[in-house]
Amino acid sequence: MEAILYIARKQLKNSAVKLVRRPARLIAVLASAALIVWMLLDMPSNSQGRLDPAILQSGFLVWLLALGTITALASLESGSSLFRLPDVNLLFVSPVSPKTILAYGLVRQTGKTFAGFAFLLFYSGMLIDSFGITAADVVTLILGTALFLVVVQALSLLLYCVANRGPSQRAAIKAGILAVPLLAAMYVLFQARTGLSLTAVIKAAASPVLDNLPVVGWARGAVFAVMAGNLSAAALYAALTAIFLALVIFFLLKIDADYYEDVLSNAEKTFELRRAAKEKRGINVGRGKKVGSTGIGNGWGASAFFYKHLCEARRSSRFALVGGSTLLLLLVNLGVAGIMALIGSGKADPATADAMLLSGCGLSVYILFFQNASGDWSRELEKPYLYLVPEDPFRKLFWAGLSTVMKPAVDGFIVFAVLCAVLRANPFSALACALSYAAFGFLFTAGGVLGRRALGSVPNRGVTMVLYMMLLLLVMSPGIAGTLIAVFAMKAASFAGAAPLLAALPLVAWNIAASLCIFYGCRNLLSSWEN
Amino acid sequence: MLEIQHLTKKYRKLLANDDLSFRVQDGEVAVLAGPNGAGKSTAIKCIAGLLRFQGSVTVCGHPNKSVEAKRLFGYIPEIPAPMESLTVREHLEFIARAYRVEDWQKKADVLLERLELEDKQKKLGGELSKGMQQKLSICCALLPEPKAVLLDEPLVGLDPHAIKELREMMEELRARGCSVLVSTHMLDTVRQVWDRALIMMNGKIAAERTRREMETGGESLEQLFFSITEGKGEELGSDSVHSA
Repeated sequence: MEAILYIARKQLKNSAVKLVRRPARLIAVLASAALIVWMLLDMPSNSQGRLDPAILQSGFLVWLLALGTITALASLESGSSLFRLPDVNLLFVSPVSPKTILAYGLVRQTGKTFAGFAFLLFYSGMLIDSFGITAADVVTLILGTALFLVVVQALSLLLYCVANRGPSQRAAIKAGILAVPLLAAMYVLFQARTGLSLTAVIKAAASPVLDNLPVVGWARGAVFAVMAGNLSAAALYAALTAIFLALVIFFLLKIDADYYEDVLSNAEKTFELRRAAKEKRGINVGRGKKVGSTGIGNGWGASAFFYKHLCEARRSSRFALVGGSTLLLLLVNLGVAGIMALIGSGKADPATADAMLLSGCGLSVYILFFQNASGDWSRELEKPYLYLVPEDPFRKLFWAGLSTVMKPAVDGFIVFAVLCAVLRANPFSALACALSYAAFGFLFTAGGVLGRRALGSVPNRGVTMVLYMMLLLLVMSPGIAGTLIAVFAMKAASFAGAAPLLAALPLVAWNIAASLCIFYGCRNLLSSWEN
Repeated sequence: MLEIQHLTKKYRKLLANDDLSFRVQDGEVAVLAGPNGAGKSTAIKCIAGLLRFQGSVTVCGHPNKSVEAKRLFGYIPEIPAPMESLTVREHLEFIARAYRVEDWQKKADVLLERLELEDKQKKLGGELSKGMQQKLSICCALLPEPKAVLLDEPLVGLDPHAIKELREMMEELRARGCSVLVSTHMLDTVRQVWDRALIMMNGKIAAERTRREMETGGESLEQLFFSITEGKGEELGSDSVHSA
């Protein structure tokens, strides 16, 4: 026990020292904390809220169910993520009791889960404003999520140990995991069967009956009881969860499961992933990728990069650039349209189809900003070939970036065409959205090039990410200003005729022009790995 | 020929390579040896044109970052980095297309057979073991038939057959007039093939010898290595370094 406490103490101390020794990171952490505190304390309280509280209750249940199911299924495949390879190499072989090590793993994971969910606090303003809840309620929601996940992770370790006894046990456990969300869905559909509508589904999912579902229901019950000030109910649900966790730990130690072996595979995989990330190299985490037809078939010189990317895209999706992400984008946009329809359903001026389209486009661009960092272009930068191939650096830059630029263009045209047909929106609005989305894709790719040139690496987190976002905002601001001026000049808010397209053109044209300038300005980027 | 003059590489305050100067002649295998952290891999990456540096590096008379130089050299990195979604054969097709290598198929077949990858041609890069990834990396570097080859710890992770094949390949490259620079701290593995030894210590070339000089002096590569790395040998500095 003394050894474990020593490690925990030293790790905490060294993390703090490391943070202090990196002023940039310390500033970023303090600034983020200050921003969160400011958002929590300064957000004007809207006691009514714009949305029905049932949406929050049902949404929270769906959120917990999704998190819990995904975590449990992932753990069933690869083992728990409670331990890392240094734990396996140093602690597991030491004469420290497995129970103590398990307790250490759980406590440490709890801390990490809390820290991991802290980012959700950035969305607190939206929650406070939409549902009329307080800052303390937002913190309760996030703490509830983190605690729920800790219980799920402990349970996953137990399930993984049992599942390893044979294929029938594994199949039974998998079915058991999937049965929880299925049961909840069946209950909701049964309750909402008469006059099936989204409102009825939300009301049914918010029902307190579902708070009786083990763990996930108890977690929601406890959180909303705390928010409602019903402390006795909260204590009951919390006690049920605590007893459940105690039982899980008890069985884990009693079933004589050698959890050391069970966590080893995942610990090794996680270690390899972390090392690969540090060494700027990729690692194949997917299993059984289908090879299909082979051969790059096209390209000579720098253009070989583009055709190689198309070949790689074929491996991920039969239709190359059109795949799962296209479908996901479509679902996100349909979701936005659905929520907007729901909000406006009881109002005198419900949201128009064009407004839904434009709102979806805005959210899609926001998601694209984060997606773009994992495009073909950034993966190619991790390999030495882009630098070694004897071709003009600008030609290499162009061909290596082409598939990353084309992907949002293809996605945009497909998704907004489908949405236009489904929502019966103005085709010019759909065209404006598709062009804007494609142009932002181009700008974000160029931004990645610029970020690498200006900041030395592809920005992906921390202070460099903040600087990168500011840099991009600066680059795109003339285009945004142009579009705003066009909107006011044409009074295009009515979305009539070609007005939306004309209003979007300054932004699209500016983004394309700025991207081309950036690509040309950074044409010698690929003359060396280091920038 | 590979010519390095006054190569200096700094990472902020850390001086990784300090004024390195040496030459690898045509048809010569030079071994860059030194303990961990001596600056070998940094030097190789600078020579390959992957890092910025002060000084000059030329490949057959062309500055190393020029397109002409890149066309002439092959690089086998310390950590193999295959494309996860390309098959073994597609890696070679990609290299052939990117380097504009005509009639590459037969050359690829020979390389794959020698490194025992012929039955892995349809395997994806991400599915290969570390040793096989290293073999693939060797095939990719040698397919364009370079005039200068840089190998960074090339034997790590290879099986005995592949080590033997790679040694033979180095000898063939030498016979073909190629300049070969191998970075390693495993002296045993290059004992049979080296012509010139460069011992690095603390970012500097601490000693440079040809095989003939060593044989004449009755000194072995290991003796020289340990005399320098364990501080019993010659002092670091230009006085003790034989100019290339």
